Amino acid sequence: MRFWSYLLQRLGFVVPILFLVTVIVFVISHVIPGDPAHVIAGMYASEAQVHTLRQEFGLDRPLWEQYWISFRRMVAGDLGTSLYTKRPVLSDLITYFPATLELTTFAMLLAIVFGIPLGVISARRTNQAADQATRFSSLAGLSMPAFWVGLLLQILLGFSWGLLPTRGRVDSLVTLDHPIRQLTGIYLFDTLVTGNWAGFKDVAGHILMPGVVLALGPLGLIVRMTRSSLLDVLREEYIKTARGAGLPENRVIYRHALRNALIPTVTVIGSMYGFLLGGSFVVESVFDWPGIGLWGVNAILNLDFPAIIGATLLYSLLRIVCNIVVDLSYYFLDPQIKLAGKYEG
Amino acid sequence: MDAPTPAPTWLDQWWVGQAARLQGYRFALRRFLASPLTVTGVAVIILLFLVAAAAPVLAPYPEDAGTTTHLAQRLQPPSRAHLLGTDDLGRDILSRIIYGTRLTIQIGFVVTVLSLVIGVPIGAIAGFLGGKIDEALMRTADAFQSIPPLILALAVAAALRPSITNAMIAISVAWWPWYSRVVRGQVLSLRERTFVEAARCVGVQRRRIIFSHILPNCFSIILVQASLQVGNAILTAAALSFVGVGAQPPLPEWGLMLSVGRGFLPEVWWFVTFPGIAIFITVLGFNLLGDGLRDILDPRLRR
Repeated sequence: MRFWSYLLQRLGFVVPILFLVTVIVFVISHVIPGDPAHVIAGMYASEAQVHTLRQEFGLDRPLWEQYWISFRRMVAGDLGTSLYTKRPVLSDLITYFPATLELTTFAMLLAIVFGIPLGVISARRTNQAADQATRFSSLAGLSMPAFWVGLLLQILLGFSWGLLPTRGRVDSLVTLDHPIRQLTGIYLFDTLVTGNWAGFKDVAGHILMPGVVLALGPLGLIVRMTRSSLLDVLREEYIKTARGAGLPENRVIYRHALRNALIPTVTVIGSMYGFLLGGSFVVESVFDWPGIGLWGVNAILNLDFPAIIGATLLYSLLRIVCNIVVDLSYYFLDPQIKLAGKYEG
Repeated sequence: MDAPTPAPTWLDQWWVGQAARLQGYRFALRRFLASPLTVTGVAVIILLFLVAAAAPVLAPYPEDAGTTTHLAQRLQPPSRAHLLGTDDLGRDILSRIIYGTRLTIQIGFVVTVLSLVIGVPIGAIAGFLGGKIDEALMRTADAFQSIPPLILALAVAAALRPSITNAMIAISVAWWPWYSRVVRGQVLSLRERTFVEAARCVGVQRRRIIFSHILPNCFSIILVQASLQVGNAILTAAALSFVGVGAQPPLPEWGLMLSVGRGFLPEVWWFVTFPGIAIFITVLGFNLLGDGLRDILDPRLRR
């Protein structure tokens, strides 16, 4: 089957790329800082201590040998121990990842649920003013620093009006009475499935602000993409035919045009997920959201290289997976597209 | 008997070429003026440069851009003496924002030039030579691009030790693949054109073909890409400073001001509000310009 061979081919690309990512990350952590032993030992370590550390971590060996050792460990799933939390990096990643996955997915869904209908609405107004308005608001969404929007929302909705909590994932007072049973680590899902309504309400309140902040950039892009590709499709012959046959306008748009117009939008959504992952670093630290972003920022501030490497590898892997999913989704959305030719570009 | 028409001199040819070029410029100018948003973007950027140039004149308290402290006036809300309030060391926020424009322009410019310097030759070489070299360079670009750019920049900036210079280097390291990819695509299509073939036939060196025949023709696409990225560079640098791996005190960097101001929430709202507005307006200006330029210079990409 062509689909499976294509999938295999794409997965074949992943291995060398991930390998190169490990090289890049290794260079960042072992070559740039000058002497990592000094970093690990801290400012007040004696020369002798630094020397011992250098031997202990194999930093006195040639670079390629160091790389090979750390690469073999990585392949075996050993990402080392975080210098800051003193726990294995892999277990930290597993602990903190669900929170990030929940936040980014929530933000993405927000952007899609609002973005596509808004795009359709603005495509139905084809005048100059609507064009400029869509363009302006989508660029405005991309031009706002997410951390700033987050702080403003905290001031307004959190501190002044007291509508929403400003930090964390869940209120500890609520979990005291209604403990969340950890099924997936995705709190919205866990509370919903176990019928923990009080917990669900609290969790939803916590995720709303960071979710909206994170969604702003992708929202603008999705609106714009949907609008422009819908306008392209509406010029096609078969739309004229559908209209000529007397189909109601709503049916023409939603049944015939939108489905074809969504293909470019899906690409944007896929590439936006990588953008969201990056954004989650800053937004999580604004809202004290206990995910990989907050953990990663702490790692970066403490020069905790094993943790930085771990987070970078995880995010690269996610991003690569997203790209593959986007490519595969073409297959289902538009069977005419030749899969094999997709990669050259 | 008719006198034979004199062959067109090089001057005539030059003249015809100039006329055509002028026609093109006029067309571009018309499209530019037809888009109020692009004009707005340009106006914002001109304003930004003016503010940066006139900072010592415009800033009510020029010395506040540096290390001066007026502890008696710390964290004062906006008033007539301090239109945008004062910060935690009693410095006038308006003055610091005004001086910050200089830093911001510098960041946008340096990051763009640095990533162009890395990215463009790599893309051109990959596209022109093709084969194994192309494969190797582009897979490397893939690897760089598969790390979310903000995270790569954060990691590099942290490893290099926090400073605004290192932050600029870090962002460029994260961004060059975008330029490489665009340039490579353009070179691939130019490579097959007749003028390149002609140059090859008369024995022009490969390096010269790339750098003086092909690259000049990539200019507009590079310009579009670069103008779209300036705003992004400023945003990323602000985020790096906000997290703590970018500009360090006492620099009047907007992201850094936000980061410090955050510690005085919720009472001190002005400390985080105004530097953020400055970032927003600046980045929006560059994005409007970039978007407009794309429409004018690269209609194929129109979205």
